Amino acid sequence: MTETSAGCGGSLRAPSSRAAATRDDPLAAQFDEFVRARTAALIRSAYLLTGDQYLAEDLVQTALAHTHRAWRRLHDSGNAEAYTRKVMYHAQVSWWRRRRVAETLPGQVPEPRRVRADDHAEASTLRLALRAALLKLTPRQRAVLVLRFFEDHTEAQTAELLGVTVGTVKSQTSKALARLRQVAPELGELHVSEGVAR
Amino acid sequence: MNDLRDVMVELADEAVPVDLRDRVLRRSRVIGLRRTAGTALAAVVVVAGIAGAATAVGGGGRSAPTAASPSGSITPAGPDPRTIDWRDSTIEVPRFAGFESHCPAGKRRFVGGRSPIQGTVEDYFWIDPAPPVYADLDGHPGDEALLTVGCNGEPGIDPYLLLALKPMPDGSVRTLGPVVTDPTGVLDYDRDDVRVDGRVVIVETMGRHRANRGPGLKQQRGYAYEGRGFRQVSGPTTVAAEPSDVRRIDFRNTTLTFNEFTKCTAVCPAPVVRFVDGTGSDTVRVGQASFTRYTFTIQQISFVAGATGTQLATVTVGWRAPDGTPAQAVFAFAVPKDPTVAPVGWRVLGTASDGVSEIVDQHGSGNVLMVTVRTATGQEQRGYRQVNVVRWARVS
Repeated sequence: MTETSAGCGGSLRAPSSRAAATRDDPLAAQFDEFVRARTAALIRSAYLLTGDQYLAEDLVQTALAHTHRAWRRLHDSGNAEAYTRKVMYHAQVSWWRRRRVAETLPGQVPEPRRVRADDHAEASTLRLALRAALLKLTPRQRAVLVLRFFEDHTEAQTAELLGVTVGTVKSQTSKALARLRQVAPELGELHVSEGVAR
Repeated sequence: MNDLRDVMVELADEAVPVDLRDRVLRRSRVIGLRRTAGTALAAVVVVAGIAGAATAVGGGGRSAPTAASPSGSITPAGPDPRTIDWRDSTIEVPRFAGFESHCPAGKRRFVGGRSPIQGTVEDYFWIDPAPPVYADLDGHPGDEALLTVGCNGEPGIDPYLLLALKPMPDGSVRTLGPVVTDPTGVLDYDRDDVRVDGRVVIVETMGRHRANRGPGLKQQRGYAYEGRGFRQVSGPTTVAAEPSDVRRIDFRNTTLTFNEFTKCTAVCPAPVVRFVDGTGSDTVRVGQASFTRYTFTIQQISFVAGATGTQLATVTVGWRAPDGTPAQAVFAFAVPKDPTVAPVGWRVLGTASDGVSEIVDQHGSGNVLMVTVRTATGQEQRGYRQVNVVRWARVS
């Protein structure tokens, strides 16, 4: 059976015909390749945004689905990942705003799904503290921190990705860092190195 | 010492990579079905939006009413405002028109430049740490202080007001009012470019405070105190929209934002410059209260296709670095979605940071920007292509 997708003018096919799609349809093959290459990195960012593996997968799935709808326009632009991340950050903010998930999250932080063999006590404590503290920030504050300090974006780039002003990025960063230190004093010793990459 | 980024990387390592391809395609189909169902409703919304925008933009360039003489009762002089630590003072915060629910008016005690809103630590009024401007604005004995008070309570906007504050003989402070007034709401303005000429406060306004937009087109406007508050007395009163075709924008006579105008670390100054006949100035703030004034000149304008095929204008701009060294950079501009927003330029390359001592020429060739530069070893031609909105890559 072959299904087509309206979003890409019938060029992308259903899972059952993946091999055929890759062989016959360059657009579908390119999208498959993009998903294969970028999903892991996107899930890492989404995990920081949501604090949960399944929510992270759901967020990335939604963002990639929107990218799929726009693939004909995006595939040659070099903008696909930027577009996906932009959708992901906007989706994250709007989800949480709409559902108020923060209010329903369990008070206890769930155990990590994968324990690293080289963990030592301090790193593990900091990691757990950071995860719990991130969940106490607003979605926009969390997004700003992830973009600025995990993805190494400048203030201007962060503003562009979130669709807000640089002033908002500055104020949200300041408030987010203050909030982190308030809810998790053990994070107060962390060094915040801004823009090592740029 | 541990680094926040390092801990974030370790936390992100907990995420398990999975193959989402099949789920993505299923979700994509669902989105497609929803869009089809929502098309009729979206059309109605778009029509309403266009009508609203047309009303907001209005006609171009009505001039302001002329100044009237200040009035009001004679007020005895209070303490010199220069002796007051405004960041630790009590101030009557006036109404933030349109933002009343998050930024309530009333008397506020500031400590270290902050005053919490409704007891929360996240939302607060703040006082700009930049030095205030002092001048006699009301015609009565003693000077007043002009300073910016902002409100973090409004999500995504963070509006602020320029306040004129008068110290009273009894030690209290009287708020003469927000200076930058406009019937359409609270106007954004360049906080680093406020001066007083006579008793008229001259500011560079930048449109209304709104979420999800960059600085608006700058306009020089004058405001005077007239007994009960401030009133606009000079400059335009409406904002004219820029053309929607990048080739029709008069880059030598508009406002441009230069993102990352110098090669920078994460905190990158972004001057917003109002050009008149190809020349404009802006004060750039680095840190909380360190200021450098730059004068920019537009040297060359070309056009090139961007990553998505959109036409971009590439503008070579020159200025002098703080040490007097001439500097140049090429910035790429697209047409903003909001025609009252200043076009935002992203740096393609510049002198002193890309092995370049001078930018000689630049012109578009399809989707490649060909730039002739001078380097330590002589003159050479380079090609640059847009990677995405914020980045360019050298391709030859």
